[in-house]
Amino acid sequence: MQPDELILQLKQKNQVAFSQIYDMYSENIFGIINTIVNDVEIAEEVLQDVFIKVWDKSESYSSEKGRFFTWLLNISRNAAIDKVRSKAYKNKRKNSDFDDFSFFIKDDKDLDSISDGYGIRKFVDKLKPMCVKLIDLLFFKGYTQKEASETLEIPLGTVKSRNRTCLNSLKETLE
Amino acid sequence: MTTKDYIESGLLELYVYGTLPEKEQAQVAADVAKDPELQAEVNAIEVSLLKLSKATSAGLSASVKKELLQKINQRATQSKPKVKIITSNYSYFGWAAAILLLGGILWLLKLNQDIQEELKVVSTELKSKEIQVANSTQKAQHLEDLLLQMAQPNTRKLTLPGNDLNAPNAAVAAFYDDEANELILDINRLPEAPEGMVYQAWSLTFEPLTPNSIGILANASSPDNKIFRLQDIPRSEGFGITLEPAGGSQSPNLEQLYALGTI
Repeated sequence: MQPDELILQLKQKNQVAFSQIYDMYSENIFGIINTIVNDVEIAEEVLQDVFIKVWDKSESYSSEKGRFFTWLLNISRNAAIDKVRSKAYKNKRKNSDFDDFSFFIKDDKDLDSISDGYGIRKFVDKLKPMCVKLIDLLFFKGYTQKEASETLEIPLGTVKSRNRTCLNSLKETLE
Repeated sequence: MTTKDYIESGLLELYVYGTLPEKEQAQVAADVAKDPELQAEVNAIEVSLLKLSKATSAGLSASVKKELLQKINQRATQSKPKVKIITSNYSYFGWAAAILLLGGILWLLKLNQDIQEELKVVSTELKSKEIQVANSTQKAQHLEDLLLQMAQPNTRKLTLPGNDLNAPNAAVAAFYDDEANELILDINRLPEAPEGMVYQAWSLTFEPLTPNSIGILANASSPDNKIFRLQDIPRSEGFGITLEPAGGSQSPNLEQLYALGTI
């Protein structure tokens, strides 16, 4: 369920509500941003920019257009992509190889059992490579179905359903 | 499409991802709002995605949040003074414009005052020049009149030699018209009359010697107060000039005779 009351208070420029919303979503947003920029320092910078935008533009969110989390996702991806395209980023960027989100999920042995990441690594590793790619492009990178079908060379009509199947196989672990 | 088909289509996942075209996104939002089953599915998808995305986080340090909250607090408190700064910027321009305008007005007033004063000086000068011109014209007119009189065919020029006792080197020029009974006397060569005394002119007939006063030689209208035009001169055989107390005398004081001449 999304925190409708907090969102309302955020729109009224309530700093306490803002702080609570940060607590609810900052790690998720940070993860999303980092899978795009692949630099913790830059990701922190982008994260702050994103939440400043959330503060400034909270009036522009409407539940009629979709989920608050979806609204946050779009702001975050756009900010991260803008950063990746910036000259400053290109100058700083290290040439490390990374393919997808799975690169950022730590091994179970690095996490304590109460951590949300616990157990996920194992399941992600079991996913078919195509599933990891699909979830990575659609969810983490915000690709459209068409862009994903072209990148992965799969029929456009199958993108939606394949993605659902892939996500469902993770769901059991995630729920 | 049944609710089950809707769920199985995989559209809801993309809806939560936020990767559908705007129109489709709004349509799904509307559909979900009407159907509790769809809502439950959307919530389930969101929970999974929150967990998945959280698992990719490298872990945020508390300093990131602290710094962010400071920035937000600054923005929250800044928004009012920001407007003030803008207003004060405008008011600087306003003040500058007002001061410039005031300066301009004062400068114009000063300029106007200067011009007024200059005009006053010039008009005073003009008046004094006019007076001078009037005086000169008057003098010229007077001299012209004298000259005209002297140039009359009937006018005879006489010389009244200075008396040996009182003014041995002086002489008085006289122009006498016995038809118009006018006499012009030029006493330029006589010494200046002392304070309280005036020269008085006399018409003379001889055998017996009879003097008749024809005028006091003071307050001439001529320049330098030295040329006198006397009228209603009785028949004369000669003219004399004596020095008399101010106001003149009934009969001449012959001891103070300065000039005497016959026709």
